[in-house]
Amino acid sequence: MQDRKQKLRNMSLSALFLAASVIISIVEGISGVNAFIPLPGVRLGFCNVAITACLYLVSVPHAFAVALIRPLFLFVFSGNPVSLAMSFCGGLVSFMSLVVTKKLYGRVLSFAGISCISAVFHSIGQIAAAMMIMNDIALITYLPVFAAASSIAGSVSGAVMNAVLPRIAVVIKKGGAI
Amino acid sequence: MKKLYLNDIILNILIIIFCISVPICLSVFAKDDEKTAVISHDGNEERRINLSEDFTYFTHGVEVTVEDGKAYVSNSSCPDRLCMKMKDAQNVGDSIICVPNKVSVRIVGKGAEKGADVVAG
Repeated sequence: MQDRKQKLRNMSLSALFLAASVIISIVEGISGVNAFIPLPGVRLGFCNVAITACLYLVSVPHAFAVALIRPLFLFVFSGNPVSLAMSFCGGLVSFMSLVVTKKLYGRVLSFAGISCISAVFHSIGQIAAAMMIMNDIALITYLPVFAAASSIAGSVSGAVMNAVLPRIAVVIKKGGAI
Repeated sequence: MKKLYLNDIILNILIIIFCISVPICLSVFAKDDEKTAVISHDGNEERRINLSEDFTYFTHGVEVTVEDGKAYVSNSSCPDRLCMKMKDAQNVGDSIICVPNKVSVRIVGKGAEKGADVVAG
């Protein structure tokens, strides 16, 4: 009975984080925050906060599901197959880096550094996807610029994680209504 | 926790320094006077335009203009039009890419090869 309750709890928590990540992406797109970034195509990526929260507070498979389903939901709203492929690849690669760097948390890096690394891997994945779509290797010249810009954006959203995640953890540990 | 923040900042600065230093090192080795804009669609080379001449080329929904030694996308049919907002390409190695239309503009030097031998990844 306890086990079943735990399963149900994990499922609803990860659904909650999925909804949060989709909404954060949409609001970020509408609000025009990205217009302040001088490079075209670079986003802040606050939706990573929800995925990282799911990874650290629920479990790795649940967070993996969230990372995979989020681009599909965004595709429903944007209807752009190119951006679907790019955010899918970016999400996959950055999720892998999040899992690998999970061991570093609390010992070497805080969330800011972890999110910085995952942001760099996200841009690597996106550019790899764009290279596959375009069938052109010239895109790699953009990688340094995008990686540098996204590492800053990743650190910003990592600072948000540092502030938010411990508080969410307290609420979840307490149990009961969230 | 305070110590960890320092680590984060050091990591971020290292990444940025690395990202800036790689293109600078590459541009030091690639010195060319005669620059050519190579326009490709879906990985296939379509046309080469010398940057010293003024020219407008239209392909697959993208209008590429070469003017005053610079190449830029002057018009595009793609929805987000990021290619039009990109920086003008004028140095060897610069490129402008329109992912929805699968068109890329790349600046190559005199000694540059016609295309890549092997595309890995």
